[in-house]
Amino acid sequence: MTTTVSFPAFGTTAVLVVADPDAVTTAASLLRRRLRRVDHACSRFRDDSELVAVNRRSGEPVELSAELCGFVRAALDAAHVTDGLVDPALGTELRAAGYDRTFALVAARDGWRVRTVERRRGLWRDIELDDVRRTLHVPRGVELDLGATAKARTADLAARAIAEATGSGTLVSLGGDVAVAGAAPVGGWTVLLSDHHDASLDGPGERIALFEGGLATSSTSARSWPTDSGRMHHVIDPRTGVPAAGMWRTVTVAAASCLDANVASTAALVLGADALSWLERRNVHARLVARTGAVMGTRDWPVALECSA
Amino acid sequence: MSTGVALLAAAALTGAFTALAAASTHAKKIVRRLETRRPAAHRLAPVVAPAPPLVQLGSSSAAPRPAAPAPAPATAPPVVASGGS
Repeated sequence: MTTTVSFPAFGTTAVLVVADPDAVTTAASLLRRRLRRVDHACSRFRDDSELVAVNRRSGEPVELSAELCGFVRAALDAAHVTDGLVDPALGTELRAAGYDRTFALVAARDGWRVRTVERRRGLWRDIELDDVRRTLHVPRGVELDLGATAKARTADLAARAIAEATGSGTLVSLGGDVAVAGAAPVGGWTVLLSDHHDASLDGPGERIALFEGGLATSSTSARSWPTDSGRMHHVIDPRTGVPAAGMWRTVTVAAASCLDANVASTAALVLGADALSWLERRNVHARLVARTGAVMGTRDWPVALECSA
Repeated sequence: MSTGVALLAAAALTGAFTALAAASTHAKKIVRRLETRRPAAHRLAPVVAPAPPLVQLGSSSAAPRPAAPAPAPATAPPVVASGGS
């Protein structure tokens, strides 16, 4: 019998599930502490966050905390392995599309006039990170956004740390980015796949069992908002500088870590028609839902149990 | 007599100014040389640690493929939903 705790975090919901009910208090405390640390380092919306301070000083070298340094390294690795499909240098484009404050405030706002920004592709390549000295140089005018990688990496780190500290099998979900560590319950961790991470667990949808690594879902139907140019969403295509308009609505990926899964699912949304072969070449398992509602999977994606409400 | 002293004094002063000017030019050259040398240290390639990639996605064809998720047992209710956020 598992025990679950959930609470708001990162503008979404954190869910912690432990296989050993006795571990829940320690596990929840460890998770909350880590989330506070990461939020303080990586938030784009907190005036006192380290990332906001770094973005204010683009064009000059800045010293980073070990925490933020690790997250920037992960974001640059993600850009490298996807050849820039997952790009941390798109903060300005996100802001121009209307995502310039916490999503709760964006969603509550009455419309937005989309601004055009000068498109300069591949700027992530000019970001210099020295991991030893922990110094970062971001080209002038470039705003970092770690949204595509920070939640997933936090889920990975938290799940692993909790499993090690408590000895309990652990699942951590941050807005639907799921990482598991330690021994899974018999039959695995059952996860409902949906367009939205806050879907009712009793509702319809495909269910799969996860035993290791991570699972992440990226969707253009969540975190979207009205503008004078139609609905915008938060997955920016670095090739165009505006929200991705490919054929997929939602992509779920299972991989060795939640970070890998989220990088792959984001890249797939951006890639569109070429996503399936791209995912197969990278040895990950994926389920893709087209805008039409048609569902496809990579070759090993399970024929899963689909429950209707 | 006083004219001679004045001429001598003028010549001495001229010599002194010339020497000072020469010394000053020399000093400026040294400063300039030092200034041109200093930035050279900054032009050295930055030491960037070869950090192992945190994202392992398809990093090596020899890397084992992670296990695929399995169909969930019919009796196991989901503990969490994975979806966009």
